[in-house]
Amino acid sequence: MQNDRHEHHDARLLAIDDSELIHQLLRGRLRNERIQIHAATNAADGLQLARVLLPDVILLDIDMPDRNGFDIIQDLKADPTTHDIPVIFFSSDANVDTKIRGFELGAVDFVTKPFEVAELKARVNSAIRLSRLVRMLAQRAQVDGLTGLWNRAYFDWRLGEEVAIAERHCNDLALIFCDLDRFKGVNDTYGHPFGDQVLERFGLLLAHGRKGDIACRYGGEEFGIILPETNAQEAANVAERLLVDLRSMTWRRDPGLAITASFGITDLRRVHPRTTAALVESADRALYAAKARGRNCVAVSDDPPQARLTA
Amino acid sequence: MNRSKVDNGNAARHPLISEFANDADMAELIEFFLSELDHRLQVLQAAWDTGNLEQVQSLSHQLKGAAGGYGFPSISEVAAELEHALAIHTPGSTLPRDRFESLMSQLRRAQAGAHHVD
Repeated sequence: MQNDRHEHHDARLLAIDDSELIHQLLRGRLRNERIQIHAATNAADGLQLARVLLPDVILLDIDMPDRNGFDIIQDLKADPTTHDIPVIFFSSDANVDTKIRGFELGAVDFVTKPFEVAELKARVNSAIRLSRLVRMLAQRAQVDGLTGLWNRAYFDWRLGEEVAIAERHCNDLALIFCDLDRFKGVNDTYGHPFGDQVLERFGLLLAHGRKGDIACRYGGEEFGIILPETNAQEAANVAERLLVDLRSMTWRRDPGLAITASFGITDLRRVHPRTTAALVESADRALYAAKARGRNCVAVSDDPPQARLTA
Repeated sequence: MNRSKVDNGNAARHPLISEFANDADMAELIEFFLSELDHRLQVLQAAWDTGNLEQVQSLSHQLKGAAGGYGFPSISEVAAELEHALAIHTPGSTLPRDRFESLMSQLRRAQAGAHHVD
């Protein structure tokens, strides 16, 4: 608790809008909300302030003379320091396409101008609450903020537990490593907000796999799945199904695009000594083999399995 | 300029009062909005007279987004109409003078309302 500095200060809101009338209105209307309001009237100041202040929420006008809000949010999302700050779009042009575009670029909400004060307060407070929860979960419960999967730290701890349990009961234990193919190219071609969408949807796919399997974001575009009481062959079937599901996903951004992944698989009977480090190394080698085979496929570790353990 | 005389008379007879005039929390904000109106009217008129349509469009865009928040939704409405007319305006075609005058007349009415309150 005590190391969460965010609990102890008033929420900070950064409003980026070219109209001084709007800034005055926000200051006046949110006066009693325990929200510190900071104002920027152009894109450059807004981005600079966002990096320095690290506000809890950004209210971003879409129509500004120098650069529009869609450009600005892409800069915010591409910068790791500002990537996780929730952005609420703020615009008087409230057509559906504009709103959808805003959400696709990573906005959490949309407020139309002229705004109802009560609604604005509710939406700002909801965005702040949400970002605090996400941050809290990421810090304390070891959940990855973007995908909602377990994070790397949890993966390391949990794999240790599962290896010990499998050893105790002479159970199988499989490990899948998977990595999205040519993901840097996806980011470069379609932008980071789209890359994030891919990670999120793939994360969702992994999260809805078999009950009892433990899906984690290992880092970047790499994921690890721990499969208790499962051998490598069974794990390969799981991976094949995931790959089919991933390939058949359609992407609004480019209907012709197919995202693929490579999978490396091993299990506890193929590694010596039977440690988490050996398991990770073996799965990593198998993943490398899948990449070398041309990606978009599943590779099982070619280490021969030892005879089935008996209790 | 006969037109502006007529408008000023009209404004005085039909002052526009903020919808939030009875909200004590809003008094300061409305005062800020009204105190700026003089300057805003001048800038708008100058931009229009010099044919700086881009500036007129940008100023009406700002009013569209903000005026309603200060309790003047009718200003937001006419500002939106002017902004839209300018957005689709092509060089050489007739200027949306009536839309411009509607916005100016609403602003003058709000100005008259400010004195009215006093």
